[in-house]
Amino acid sequence: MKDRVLVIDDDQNQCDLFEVVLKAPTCEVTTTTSPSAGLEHAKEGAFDVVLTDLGMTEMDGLELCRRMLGTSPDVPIVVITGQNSLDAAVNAMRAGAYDFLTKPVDAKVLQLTVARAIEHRRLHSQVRQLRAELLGAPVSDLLIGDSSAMKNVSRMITRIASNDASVLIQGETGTGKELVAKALHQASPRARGPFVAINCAAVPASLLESELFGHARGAFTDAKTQRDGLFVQASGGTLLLDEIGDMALEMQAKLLRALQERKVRPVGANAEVSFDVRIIAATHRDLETEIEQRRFREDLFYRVNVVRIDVPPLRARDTDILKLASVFLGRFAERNHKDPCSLSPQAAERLLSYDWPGNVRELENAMERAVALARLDTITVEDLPQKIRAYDREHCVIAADSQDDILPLDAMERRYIFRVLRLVGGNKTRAAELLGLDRRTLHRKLERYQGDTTGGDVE
Amino acid sequence: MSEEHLSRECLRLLLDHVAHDLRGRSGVILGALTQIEVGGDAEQIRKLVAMARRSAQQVLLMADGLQRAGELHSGAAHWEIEPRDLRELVQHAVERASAVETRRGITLDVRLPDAECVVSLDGEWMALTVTDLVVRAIQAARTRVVVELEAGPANAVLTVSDDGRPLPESWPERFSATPREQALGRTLSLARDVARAHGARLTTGERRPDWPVGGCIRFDFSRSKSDNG
Repeated sequence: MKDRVLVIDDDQNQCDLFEVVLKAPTCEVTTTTSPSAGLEHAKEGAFDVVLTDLGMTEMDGLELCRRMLGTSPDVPIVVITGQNSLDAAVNAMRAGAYDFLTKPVDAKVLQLTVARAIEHRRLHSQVRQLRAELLGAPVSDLLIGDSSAMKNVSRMITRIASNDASVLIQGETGTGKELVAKALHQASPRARGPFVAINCAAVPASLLESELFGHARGAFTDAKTQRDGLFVQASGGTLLLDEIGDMALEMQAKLLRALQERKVRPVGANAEVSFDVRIIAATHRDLETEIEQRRFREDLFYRVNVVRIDVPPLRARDTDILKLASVFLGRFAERNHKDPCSLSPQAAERLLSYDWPGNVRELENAMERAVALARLDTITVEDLPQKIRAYDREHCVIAADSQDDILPLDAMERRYIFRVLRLVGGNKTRAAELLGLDRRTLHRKLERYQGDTTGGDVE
Repeated sequence: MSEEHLSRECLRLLLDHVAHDLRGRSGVILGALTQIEVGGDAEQIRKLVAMARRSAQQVLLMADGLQRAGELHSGAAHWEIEPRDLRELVQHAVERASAVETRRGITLDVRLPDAECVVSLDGEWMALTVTDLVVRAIQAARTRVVVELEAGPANAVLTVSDDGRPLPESWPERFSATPREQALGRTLSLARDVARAHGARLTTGERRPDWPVGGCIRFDFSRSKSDNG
């Protein structure tokens, strides 16, 4: 993949000269004379290094540096200026510049500086990736939470980011499978390419083939022009086939062939088109059961399930619930032009007690509603949906009046263990002591229950 | 800040700005020459020669502007007022500006009346001023610049519009390298003084009605009976 350089200088001649000096078979140069257009370019494309002039009329280079580092903090910025003064150099470095050069710039010095900046970025990115792998830290800002379940997801993303293996993401509805796919795309060498997602369940079966593979002009009544399918549109990047478990069997056969051949045939076309995409499939269904029921092709399953990531349900991410709630509250307060909201202790307790069958999406909706209803800057229990407010009473199984309220012993045990864990702030050694278990047994039970989708809490 | 201190600060900024531009442009010339020495295909050499030529022309235009600024500042400016066809002068100025300042993606639209438009003025001063204004507009524009001359029986109005940032409504007397709160930019300052010397009026105006952003600079020349023939 080529190194990408962005040049911002309000002198077109200077831009053209830098382009000539830096252009190489391994380097792609984009130039602009407008700093604001440069900021837009930087947001849209992943550049390895940015070169900017300091003295520009529309926006000076220091301001540009500060703004660019706000949105693309990892991209090294080399400031090049005609102001030959120590002050200018110091100010540029203070604004976050990686290096500072004075005009006229020697071509070799420029090439060397750019090469060094690109290497710096590469090493920086590797260190971050290794650190994430070591600590199980989130590989992306998209993944919120530091529960052990999410750390496992982050670790898995880091391990498989650099290769092109197909990935199957499995998780209940609302757990954030698409965010995991995006995080994987961003951590991969394909991050500069497009991330294209399609919900296979949302597109009528008759249109899915044309959506995925494209169509030739005149292929059907409405095909007035030729159109590339998503496989071609995602070229150089990642294609997410969301809810693949809902795809019709006939389409599954066509998809399997495309994945085997790495080529697609647009509807109505004579020739096949090659594609270069990483495939990520996602589903809330248990595909192995679907195979047994003959609703999903086994060969396609093995094709997409080279690596599998299980996204945990929210109830298995107890320590993340309040963190996620806080992020959503901040987001919705900003969107509604309100002051930042916080949760009252009672409301926080309700959120922790609830079972979250709709997972993160349900929590997000609850927080959006709470921000809209809140009269003060504190979210109270009254601002929460009825289902969450009433949850404890409805699930008070110990004092159950009817047989319908009785839970299986496994579900009871699961709820009880998680309840104790919450009480001791996630300290597994202490929880094991209180439960009268040894630590390894507790670990085994936790591993088993984190994938479990039933249950709630015990009062 | 005292007036004297402000003036000194403006002069320092002006000289800084000039030094910055001179370094940048001579840097392009030197860089292009170095690349030509290294060699390349005919197309690349042609591009490099064009870059060097444009940068040299920018340096010349800067030198002309600085000399005129010095003459105006010291009161030593000499004016040779005579009837001239403003259409020819604008056309010439636009051609020079286009040769000096090229920006990708900017369109330059010149609208001149069919009949000649004679106005009494100093041709050299005015040509340089209009060239400066068109260069400024090209530099400021996002996508387009319109240069329009409208001739009436009593006056002729030259408008240079761009779709860049709006221009300030009121102008301070002092001038500096670039427009700022306490000083007027070099180009506008020169243009204002040249307009005054010709008894013309230089104003900034709003963007063109069909543009979402931008502004314009307007020269309003009064025409005597002899100008109208």
